[in-house]
This record gives sequence, C-alpha cells and structure tokens, in this order.
Amino acid sequence: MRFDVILYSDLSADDMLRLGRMAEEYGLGGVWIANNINTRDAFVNFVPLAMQTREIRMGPIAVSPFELHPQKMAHSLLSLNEIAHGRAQIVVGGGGGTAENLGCKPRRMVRAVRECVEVLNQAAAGKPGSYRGEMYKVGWMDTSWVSVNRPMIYVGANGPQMLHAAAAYAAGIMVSDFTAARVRWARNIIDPVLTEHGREPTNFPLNNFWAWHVQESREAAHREARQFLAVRGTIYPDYIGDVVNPDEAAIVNANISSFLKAYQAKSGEIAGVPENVLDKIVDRGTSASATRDIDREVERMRDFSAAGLTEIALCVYSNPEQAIRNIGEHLVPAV
Amino acid sequence: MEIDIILNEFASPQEACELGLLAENYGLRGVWASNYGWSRDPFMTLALLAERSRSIRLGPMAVSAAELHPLKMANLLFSLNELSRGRAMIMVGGGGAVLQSIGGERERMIRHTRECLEILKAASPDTMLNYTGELYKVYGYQPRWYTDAPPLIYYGSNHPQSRRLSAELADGLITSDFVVPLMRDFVAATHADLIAAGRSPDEFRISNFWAWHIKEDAEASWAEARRELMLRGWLGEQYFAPFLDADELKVMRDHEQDFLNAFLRGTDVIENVPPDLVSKMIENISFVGGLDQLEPAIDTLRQFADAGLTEIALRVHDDPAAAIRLIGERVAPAL
Repeated sequence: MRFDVILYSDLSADDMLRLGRMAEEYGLGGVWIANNINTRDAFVNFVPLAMQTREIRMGPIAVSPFELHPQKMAHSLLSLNEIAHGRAQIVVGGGGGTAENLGCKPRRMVRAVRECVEVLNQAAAGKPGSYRGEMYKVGWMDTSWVSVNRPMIYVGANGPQMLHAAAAYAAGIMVSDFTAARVRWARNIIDPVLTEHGREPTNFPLNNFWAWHVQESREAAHREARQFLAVRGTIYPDYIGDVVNPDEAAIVNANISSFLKAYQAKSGEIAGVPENVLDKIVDRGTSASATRDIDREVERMRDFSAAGLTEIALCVYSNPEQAIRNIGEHLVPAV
Repeated sequence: MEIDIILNEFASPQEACELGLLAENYGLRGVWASNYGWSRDPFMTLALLAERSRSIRLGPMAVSAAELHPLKMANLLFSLNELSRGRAMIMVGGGGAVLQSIGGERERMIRHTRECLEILKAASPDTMLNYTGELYKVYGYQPRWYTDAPPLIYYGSNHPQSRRLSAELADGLITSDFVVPLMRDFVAATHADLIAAGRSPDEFRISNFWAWHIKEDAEASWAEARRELMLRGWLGEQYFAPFLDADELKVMRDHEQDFLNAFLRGTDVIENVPPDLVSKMIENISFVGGLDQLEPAIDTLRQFADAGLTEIALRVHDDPAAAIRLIGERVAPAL
C-alpha cells in the first residue's frame, strides 16, 4: 500500500520543501495539502518542492469547481505538473469549506465534478479543443505545451452517488475518514462499476484521507485527535454508526456543537459526550496510538489494505517530522 | 522611467525564470507573464523566477475577477509575493482571452473590478475580512502568513471610468498601445482623478503596454510586427486617430478581418490593405525595424517619460532573450 502524507495547510513553501523531502527520503508516495481559504495557494506553494525532489507526488486536496473554474484549475495543475516533471496530483471535490467561504452554494455536485474532471483530462491530453458541458464551458483550450506524464486526478467521494459516478470515469478516488469496514462498503459500490467499464478493480487507486495523531503517549494522541473531531466525517450522522452503537451515536448527534466548540477553542474538552464514547470515536476513527503501540497502527493499515485500499493519505498535525519518521520507519516497510 | 518586460504567452516556468533573471541582471524593473486561454497559469509561470531572483518584480497580466474569484486571486498573488519576498505585482483586467475561453461574459466590468480591488486591498493578516459585494462574497478571510510588503496592484485602464477606479483603489494603472499624445492627456487626467480622490500623483504608478519588435534583422522585425498588428489596440480607432487620417482609418476599419486573419494564421501577410498604410500603423504604434531604430525608440521612450509614465511595459515576441539583451544593453542605460 502506498503511504501519502497530508501536511497541515498553513505551512510555508520552505516548510513544505523540508517535510516533502523528508517524506521522499522515507519512501512515501505523495504529499498533499488541504485546500483552505486562509492558506497559501497550494499550487504556487508546491513549486520549491517540485523543483527539488525527484519522485514524490504532490498536490492539493480537495479543489472544487465551484471555487475555481475547471479551465483555471487545469492550467494551475498542469503548470505544477510541468515543474514537477509529471508528479502533480489533485483531488477534485464537490464542495468544501473554500466554496462556502466564497458564498457559493454547490449544486449538482456529481455533475459538476464529472465535468471538471473531463476538462482536466482534456487539458492533460494536450489536445486543443473546446468543451461544452451542462455546467461548464470552455470556448477554446490549447495546452499543446504539455509534454510530461499526466497528473494523477482523483475524485473526492464519500457518498454512494459520487462513488458510483466517479468509478465510471475517475483515474482514482479518495474517500475520507473511512474505517476498514466502510472501505469494504465503498468497494462494493465502485468495483462493479469498474468491471462494467472494463477496468480492473484491484489496480484502481483508492485512497483514504485518515487522521494520524500518533504521539509519545496515548493521552497526548487522544487530546490532539479530540480537538480535530469536528472536521472528521466520522462524527456526522451518516458515519457515526461505524464507530459507536446507536445510543452513543444519538449522544454524539445531540452534541455536534460541542465538537465544533472544541475545534475552534483548540481544546480536547467536548462537553456532553462521555469519555468512553470519545475514546471509541478516536480509537476507531483515527490513528491515535502511543508511539510504543505503533504496531496497532501497522495492523490497522493491513486491515485497510485487505479491505481494498491501495493508498492512504495520513493527515499529520503537530510535530510532522516525527509523524513522517514513524510512518516511514514503521508503516512503509510493513504494509 | 523604469522598464518592464512582458513575456509572450508561450513561456514555460523555466523559460520565464531564465528570461526574468536575464532582465534582472540588466537592472530592469519587472517581468509580466501573459494570461491567455492557451498559456500556462501565469502565477505558476513566474513561481520559479520568484524563488530564484532577488530584485526584479513579477506578476501576471491581466487577470479578471470574472475568470478567477478575487479571494482565489488574492491567495495566488500573496503566495507569489511570499515566494518572491515581497516583489509580486498584478494587473487586474476587466476581461480578456481567458474569460472568453471559459465562456464568461464581459458584463459589469467596472463593478467586477471594483469589488476585486476592494478585496485585494482589504486582505490583511491582522483582521478578518468579511465582504459582501453585489458580485462577490468573502467570509472569514484572514491570511495570517501574508506578512511581506504588499504586492503592487495595477488596473488595466484605457478609459475614463476605469481610470477613475484605478485612481481610487489601485496602486497604479497600465494603459495599452497609447501613443505619446494620448498618453500625455491620459496622465494629466489620471493626476486630476488622483487629486480628486485625495491621493498624491507622486505615489501612483502609470505604465503603458508597448510592443517591441526591434531586431538585428529588420525584415524579421517588420514581419513580426505585421503578424501581431491586429492586437494593437484591437484596431480601435482612438489608438490610431492621432496619426492616421479619416480615409486611412476607414480602410483600417473596413479590413479588420484581414488583420485578424494574419494574426490567426500566424502570417505577416495582411491581405487587401495597402502596405504603406500597414507600415504607417506599425511605425507609430510599436517599436519596429533594425538596430538603427534603437535611437528613435529611445527618443520615444523619453517622450513617454516626459508625459508622466513611471514605467513602461515592453511586450517582447519571438526570441525574447535577444530582445531583453537589446533593451538591457542599449535602451535602459540611455534613459
């Protein structure tokens, strides 16, 4: 299984270069940056890393056509890809925080993402032409300057409709915060579509955005993980049942605002939710072990692989150097 | 008066870097990357140069809010600014080639640009921006990392309404294809606008996009100028009226398609238009000819400086390195 790392999105280009090189040295497959309105532009910020590495892939996760027209997205992606000699990657998503911060109300997301990926693919092929979709149009696009390998274009998909649609046309799919059981559920949706389209499911890149909070102690790991639970898909109604029982899920559902408050306050205190429930969510929905127990995480990665993940993107928070070292030394050689 | 270079739309990041460093070595002020539907992303085109250069300014020309949401523009611009350690600039435009290629409409251009300039200028690392315009909305924007000296923000202005908006909100304006008499009047009007807006003309930058075709090979220079002539003011009468009589203007207008055909076909043959008229147009609205034309060009540049330009943006075409060398070695020292 390929291991990627998702770096925290407020890093400077210099920090990304330093951490990206370290990730490359440890044999990781890719570096991602979460797309956020208050952060540097991910494409521009990757340039020093693209220039000074040879193997590692890089790109933003996830960019929505509601925030950036597909043609503009194509040109940014392909320009980065040129500098990186064919190592750019992107996750195209249907919504996200950035679009909301621009006051956009995404609609027909499945259609929008599909058209966006079609424009990106057309541009990546370097063939001049136009595109007339229902939602997006390109009068004339000529990327005949494209001369390196195509960038890897993933679709960010969690729901059944997006998973089903993306399996028909995407080069890869990235889900987020999926447990191994949920990965099997996703495979049951996408594999028949892949087969129907003459594609081999075992070769199809399926990645999972997964929170990595491994710290020196379990307490420190859990404290950090709890702080970020509001941005985990796991706590929301469609997914909470993956990690707790129905009664516990009801408690979580009734206290979503407490998770948001903890996130905003950068605190691990989540009012109204019992400790044992929080422990279950963190233990089952993130990687929050103590360093000495990292074998637990190796096992989890084996489970993910057996469930059908071909890649995993581990989102690291505090002390990214330590995280990359742990991933590189323990996970990469083992799975 | 300082000199900027406008690179052609085919420049790759590597080429832009080499050409920009060449310009920097000659002490030129800045490099602009053209923004077209078939070019690379202009921010990315300049990203290598941003990192490797030390003193030259750099920026995209022109980017329209209608093609790129002002907040996305802000993050791209500020990221380039950070990579260049405070040397970025941008020319915001009302709409152009990219807008057309993505099927956008040139509607309410002044309103689009006003809101764009307001957002770019209001962005701050210290205070959160919430902006509710008629066309654009921004919620919760606070790029804490935006701490370098702010980039220079120009507006591409050839008309009174855009000129007044520039005087109100921008750091400078850039006209295109204005001959000296037009420039003189426009600068005077700009200064009056600035005073009316409570700003000092001394702190405002005024530039003019001007085509450079001079080469060692005079015939090649003329051929290049004929091929590109359609783009000079898009053959707007107001740009040619200072030096063509009414009959000549009518011939030009009647044969617009012939000029366009030459450009689209990449040929220097402008069918059905008297060669003398073509030569007269080119001689007056660009720098053309062999090396014997350097002195007349320098004289014209002095007239532009006397008219009040703080800088001029010379658009180079085929063999841009040779053009930069000529400008750097023969023109810049003479001004």
